[in-house]
Amino acid sequence: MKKKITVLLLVLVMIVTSLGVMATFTACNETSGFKIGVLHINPVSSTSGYTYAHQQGILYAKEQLGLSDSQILIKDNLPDDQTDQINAAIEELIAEGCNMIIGTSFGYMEELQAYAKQYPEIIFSHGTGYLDTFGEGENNNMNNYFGRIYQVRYLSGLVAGLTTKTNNIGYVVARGTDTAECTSGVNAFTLGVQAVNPDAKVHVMILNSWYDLVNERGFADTLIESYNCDVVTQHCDTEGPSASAKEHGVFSIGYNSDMALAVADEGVERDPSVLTSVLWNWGAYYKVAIETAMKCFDEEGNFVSNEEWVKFGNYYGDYTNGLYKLAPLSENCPEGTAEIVALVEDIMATGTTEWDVFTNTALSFVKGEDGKYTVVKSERQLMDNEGNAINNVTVANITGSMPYWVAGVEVHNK
Amino acid sequence: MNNAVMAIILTIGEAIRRGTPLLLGTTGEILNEKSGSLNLGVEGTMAVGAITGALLGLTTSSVFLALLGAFIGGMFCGLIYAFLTISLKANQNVTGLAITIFGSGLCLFVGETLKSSGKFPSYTTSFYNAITSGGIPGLKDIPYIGTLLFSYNVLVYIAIVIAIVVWIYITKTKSGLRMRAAGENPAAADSVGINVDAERYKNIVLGSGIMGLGGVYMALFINNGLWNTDWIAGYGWIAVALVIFANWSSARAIWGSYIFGLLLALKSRMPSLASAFPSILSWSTAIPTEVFDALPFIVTMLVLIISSMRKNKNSGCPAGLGLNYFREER
Repeated sequence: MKKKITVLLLVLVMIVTSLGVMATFTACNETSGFKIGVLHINPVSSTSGYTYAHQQGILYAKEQLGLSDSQILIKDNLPDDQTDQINAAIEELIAEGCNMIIGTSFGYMEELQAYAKQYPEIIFSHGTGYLDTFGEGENNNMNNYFGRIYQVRYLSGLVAGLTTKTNNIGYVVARGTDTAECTSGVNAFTLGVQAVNPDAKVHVMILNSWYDLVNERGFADTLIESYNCDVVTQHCDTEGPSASAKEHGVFSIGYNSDMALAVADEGVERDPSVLTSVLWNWGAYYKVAIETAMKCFDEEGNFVSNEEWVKFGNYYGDYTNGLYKLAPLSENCPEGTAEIVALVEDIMATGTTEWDVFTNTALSFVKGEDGKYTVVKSERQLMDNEGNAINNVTVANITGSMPYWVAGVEVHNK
Repeated sequence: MNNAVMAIILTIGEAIRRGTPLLLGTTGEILNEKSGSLNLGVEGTMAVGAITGALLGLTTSSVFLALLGAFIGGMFCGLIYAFLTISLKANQNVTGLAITIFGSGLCLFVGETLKSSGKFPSYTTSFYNAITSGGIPGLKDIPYIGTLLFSYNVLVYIAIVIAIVVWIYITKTKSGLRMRAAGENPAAADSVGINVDAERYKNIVLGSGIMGLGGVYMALFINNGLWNTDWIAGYGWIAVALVIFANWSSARAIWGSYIFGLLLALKSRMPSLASAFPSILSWSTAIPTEVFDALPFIVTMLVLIISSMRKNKNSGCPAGLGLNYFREER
């Protein structure tokens, strides 16, 4: 009797599961038209941090372009160092009929490129990578996208340099000199600090991980307790450094999402210990990218040509594209901070040809008798922290290889 | 000089903070193992304690209720484990692993569901102050000594007290003798009238409750009450190995946990030690941080290898560990 019941139950379970699977299959076949697959490294449910910022951008593009839920397929919580998992996710997206696949994390790069070669009728877009596949004949369907985030790092450096009293500023960074995204951020931040506070030092600790709440916090603890830092900033994914700064009664500057919201107490809207945050606005890219990719397909979602995509090419947005911004300043920023930041924002709004962070023109700010600040430009020689001169920093350096720290940076681990 | 002393004190402090969840997990596991159950569900039990304790604490702003919630959450896991292995005679290892998967999954499910719907509670200012600004008032302001001994949150001291009480209970009391008998030789214990099943049930549930406290420590004191998909982060597994390292003695587990806490703390504290003692420690800045990540687990492996090679008479390992007791097969 017992056996019979068990068998009956097992059969029931099998029927229910197969019905479920069939239901998903029919659901897939019913919808036609353009479909986008997105690969995220962290859970899509996160309410702050890296994946959150990207997902907000996708949702913005979806809303702006009038896409439906069924047109956007998400694969989240996908570690970017697990080739087989990444391959499986991409294959599932292809099987479900995606016309465009977006990978938001650095580590998806090689897998995406392999599939881009195999599937010329699908558009691939990869964030934060460096593989430039355009111009290699048939392989013109994958681009990479990123932005001059170092511009906002410079702005946040101004805020830190103006606020610090101990002249020690901490920086928890995900990776070291092997990753230009990180070094360019630290260097731009330091140049921003020095523009307003030439005596301040930036203490760097390298995490060798992008997402590690416990150690991001632990590193910030060390920077504050042992190096006397009274402002800490981060280039990593969690609210750990901001939480540590709040606990020690010092200040922090967030990254990726607005940390003033993330560490706020119940009933408090913005935590005042977070001076500001460096924020991406990925929606600015996703909207134009998806719009362009859609032009490569007809209304049923059949591939026509990738001409438009090739024309669009790789994307390296700057301040004028609205790809990033600084979060609202905290009340703890000293007087004049907002004014000085606005002055530099005005310069950035004119593009990067006039002035850019890594050129040999330094900015400084002079307070006039009327209490208003003006920008003074002066010549300088960029130096690294080992005393070598740095010349001709190009976009290729900033995105590909910047294996040095500028003078004023003190690195405490490897 | 002052900087150098402070760097050492802060490193020790971090070791104690990181070691405390290990101490709670280990003490709980010692209660399990001494009564004969090899409970591999520490990681999952801590996860359930973490989520129940953190949610209760965050919503009520009471540290006491957070600890109580964690204790009950841990006991709940212990009860499942005890029912499966004692009443239903299921395999202990498999059940323990099932508890780990179940507990971690439950914690992730509840946390993610709340977080994604925006309902994960954030702390009130008073609760935040209660969990972050620990220490014994007055005493903690003594220079150096105060920071070293009296500046920790309440659970650090509770953990030490629990470890000592458990040690006294196991080694010095009559009921401790009974539970050890149930773990060493359940058939012999049964023949002198000890209720083996009841002894095991009692100690599993109590020990799991203590593990739950370790879980809420990870959630509130290590992660500041901020949701993290991996609150326990492998500490439960280190605790299982620490039991062997401590030779099944919760008194020895105190310094054993702090040694492992030091290994965990080195990643963030080594640079400050290197700055304080540049002549002897400057080489350490060349070590990639990944090495520090791996260190506690490498040492865990070494501990297991060494302890398995060295079988001495003084081993505290119960003879009946991992074996279910079938009364009918005596």
